[in-house]
Amino acid sequence: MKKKTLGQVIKQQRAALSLTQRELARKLGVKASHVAYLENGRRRPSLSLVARIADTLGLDKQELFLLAHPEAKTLVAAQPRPARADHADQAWRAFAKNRGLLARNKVTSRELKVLNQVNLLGRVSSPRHYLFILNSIRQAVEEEE
Amino acid sequence: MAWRNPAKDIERLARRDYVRALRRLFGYRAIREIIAAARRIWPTLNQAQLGVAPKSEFDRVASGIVPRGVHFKSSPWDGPEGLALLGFYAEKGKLHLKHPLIYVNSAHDAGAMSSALCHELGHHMTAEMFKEAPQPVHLFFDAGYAAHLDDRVELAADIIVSLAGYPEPVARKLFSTPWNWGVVARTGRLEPSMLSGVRGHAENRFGLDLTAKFPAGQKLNYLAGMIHYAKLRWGLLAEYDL
Repeated sequence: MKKKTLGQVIKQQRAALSLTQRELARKLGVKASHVAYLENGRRRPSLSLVARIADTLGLDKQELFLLAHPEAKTLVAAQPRPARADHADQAWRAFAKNRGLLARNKVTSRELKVLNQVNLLGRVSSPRHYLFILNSIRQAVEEEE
Repeated sequence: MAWRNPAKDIERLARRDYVRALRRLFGYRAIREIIAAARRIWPTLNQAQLGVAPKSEFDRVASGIVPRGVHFKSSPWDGPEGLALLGFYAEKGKLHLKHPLIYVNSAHDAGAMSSALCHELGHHMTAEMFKEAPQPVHLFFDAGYAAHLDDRVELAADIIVSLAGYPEPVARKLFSTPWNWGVVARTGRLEPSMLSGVRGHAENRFGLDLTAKFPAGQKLNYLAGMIHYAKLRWGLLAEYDL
């Protein structure tokens, strides 16, 4: 399988967070054209910009750094990933791949998409939190009707 | 979100310079905007002390504070997994919500519930300021304070909690130090006298007694919250003279 490029990762995550290139650029403190260049693979971000992109888009700094600077892989490949990102990833994977749980709770693809946006913020460490949030929101919606 | 190493994480929080974090994320004008947005709902923010309702009265009092057009829900979710969540704020429009939703976990102590309510209301008050980057749900975990120092949206909500918990007259009494008027303000460790003042204030005003019988993990989380909001308030006084 072909590995994703830095530009593809930025573009995909930006779209998932419903940000335009201009909005992302404003958050990063760069021009919109610079974001376009990064997404097209025509520029390589500085180290500080890699960190800002990771913070803004909720991405893993180390992975982003290695995508931007693959030549550094041998230097940092042995470093363990931060525990928080691992927990968040595991929680989301455990939730999103549990077909039985999704079916039992009638989680629609639209709901899953919104919960994925919650996952992108990288703070949820338990799959049950997703379900709890979803059910609380559903109850509020029912009360509105 | 769970603590990886509670003692170390609290130690890190205690050492961190909050003025630096504030200065990096907000200019003076942005802080004024946050206060102005909050005062549309709480006109006496930073002037009068926010009271804490007992747990039995919490829902009634909270329903009176939460603005019209915002759902308020509280229910208990205990156990380590449930207690990790203090509350959340869901913006309208997501998952068919016609109005925003504030949820507070009522398994917590009344003081923690009040700060959670205040934090989620803070999201509602500042939603307009951060509308360019809407988030479907703002989650408030009890081990997430350090992460808030790198997140404008979360820190703005925490600023409101801090100003409500320590209005200016109280903050001046607790946190005024000679170096507030130095060239560069900074907040390091809370001095022992400050910490005892903060503990007394939390106990008298919020009924939060850390010598009470909470499970160890919960006690650490409440201690972290106490340090976080106190240092944030100290930073606001030191850097912005608020």
